[in-house]
Amino acid sequence: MRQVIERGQQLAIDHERALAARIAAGERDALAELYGRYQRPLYAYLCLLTPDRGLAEEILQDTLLAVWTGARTYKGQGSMRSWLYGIARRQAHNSLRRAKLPLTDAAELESIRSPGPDPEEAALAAATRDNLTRAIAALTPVLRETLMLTMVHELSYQEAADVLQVPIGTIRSRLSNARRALQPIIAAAEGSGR
Amino acid sequence: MRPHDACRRITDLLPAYASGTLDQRETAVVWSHLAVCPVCSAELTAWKAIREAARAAAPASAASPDVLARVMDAIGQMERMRPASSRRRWLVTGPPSAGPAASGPARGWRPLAGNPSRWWPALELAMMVVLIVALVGSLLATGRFFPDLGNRRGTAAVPAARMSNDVLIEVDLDVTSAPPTRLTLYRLTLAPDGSTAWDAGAGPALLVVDTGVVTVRVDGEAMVRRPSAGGPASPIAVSTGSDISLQAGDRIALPLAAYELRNAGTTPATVLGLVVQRPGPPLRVSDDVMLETLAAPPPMAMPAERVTVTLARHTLAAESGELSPLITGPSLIYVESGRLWLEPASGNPPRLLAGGTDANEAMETEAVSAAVQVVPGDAVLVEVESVAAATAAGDEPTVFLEARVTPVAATPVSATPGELDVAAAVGARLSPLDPAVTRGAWTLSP
Repeated sequence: MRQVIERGQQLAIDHERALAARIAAGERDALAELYGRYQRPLYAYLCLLTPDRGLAEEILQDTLLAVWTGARTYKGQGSMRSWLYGIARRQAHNSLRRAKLPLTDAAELESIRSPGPDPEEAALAAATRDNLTRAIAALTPVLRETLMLTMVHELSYQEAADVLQVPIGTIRSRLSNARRALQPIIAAAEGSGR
Repeated sequence: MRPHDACRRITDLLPAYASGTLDQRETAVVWSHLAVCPVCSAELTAWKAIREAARAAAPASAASPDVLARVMDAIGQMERMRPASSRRRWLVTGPPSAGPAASGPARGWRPLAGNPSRWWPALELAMMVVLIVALVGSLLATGRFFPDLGNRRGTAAVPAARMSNDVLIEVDLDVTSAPPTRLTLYRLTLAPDGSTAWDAGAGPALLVVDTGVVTVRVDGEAMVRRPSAGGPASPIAVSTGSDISLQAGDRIALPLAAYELRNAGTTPATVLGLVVQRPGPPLRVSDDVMLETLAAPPPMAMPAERVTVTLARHTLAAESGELSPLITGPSLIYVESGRLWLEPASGNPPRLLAGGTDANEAMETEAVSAAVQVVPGDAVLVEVESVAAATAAGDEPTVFLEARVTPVAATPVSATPGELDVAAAVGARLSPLDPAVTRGAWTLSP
């Protein structure tokens, strides 16, 4: 069974490398295939980085163009997914800078909180999933991004570390911090469930 | 390993376990631990709740369906234009290759990032094959190899002119003591019977009537070129206080003097205006005239004390018409139709202009660091020798205006600093002129 799974994973990796090679060779069908496979999660990720849906679409286009011109740089050392997310993140960073939208460095982001309900205050309310969703939206941007990449986009810790260009330990600590921030909501839910 | 350490290690893995991203070995380790640890099981429940809430928070909508089509269009243009610019190296003769129609990206100008060097060789080879086929096809079609075939096929493959450079009008100015000055390109639209006075303080102006019939009353001398009347190519002088009737295609150079524009026809008239604009009173027109600011870069230093200001209209053939000689700058470019592909040279980059709805405010600029496609309505300030190539993109001819400032080639006879002696500067260049009207002085002094 284990051998079957590993063989399946290897086939998937081989297919991704072949896909990148076809894009590098100038096959537009390959780019369309990649787009069909990743456009929804990439677009969702970009919407996480900017609330402007139109801008997110433009960044998605920029990402695809960057993939087209840079496909030869993908050597298969990481997953194609983390490679794509990394490109999308860099394109978003560039676009936001060009548009003169505020950019904050990671260290600063760690210390601030997005506008919205305070998780601890929210914990006083009824413990529902909606409250938890709102509390996630109120996390600091880097905690929220890390949480969404791992829990929604299902990136492994290593993939998330590759995308965010941080050590893998930072991913673990950010998830731990996010969990701690959400604890009041969880505790309230557990309390009301008893 | 103590139970506490085991829980800590498993806790780190629980988010990944909840979202199913652990590998098989780690999954087995966590699964085994959960079977015996209620604390970590409860923690897993919490992470599953967080996962569900996070998924609910994620936007579910997809990007619009034409994103991919726009990207493919942009790629198509990259493939056509990049090799076109490198064609200088080997395209010496032969007809232009006929590429597919270029619809272009939906947004306006867009720098196309990336280094296409990896597909240049393949594309160049492909382009050479296409050119050879096209050349043979052209010879066949024009009957140079087989006259009979040529007669049947007609003359469709005769290459069109690749480009034309039409100097609309130019004047010499003395800018010895002028403050930093900006060239501003305007378009005025006058309704039938509409009229406006032009603020003389704005600066010398070069006007080109694009459509309609316009009467200009000049309070001071002026010079007119009237291709519509079949007159001489050289400007003719106009006396002070004259009413001059100008038709489409006619041009007039106006000094610092009050003048009035009136639409003398029954249809709207449009006039292009290049103003060598001084700091000072804002440019104003009457309410029944629409004034559009096409290009208004920030003030620039003049390249010499005496300069020639030229307004030219360039037309490049579709697909690959290439500008020659190149724009050396400083110049102001405004694309009227088609698409212009500009490749920056190393050093001073060209600058795209944006914004500036107020006629008296300079537009914001953005340096062009990579090849850029300029579309109708966009303007570019070209610094000195900042353009490596200017090529037509797309499947229609590219027409653009260029306002340029170049040092006066000939030394003027006598000119008071800060003033332009028309007899010396203009007369020497644009003879014959009526000697009676060549004593005025054009100045850019404040």
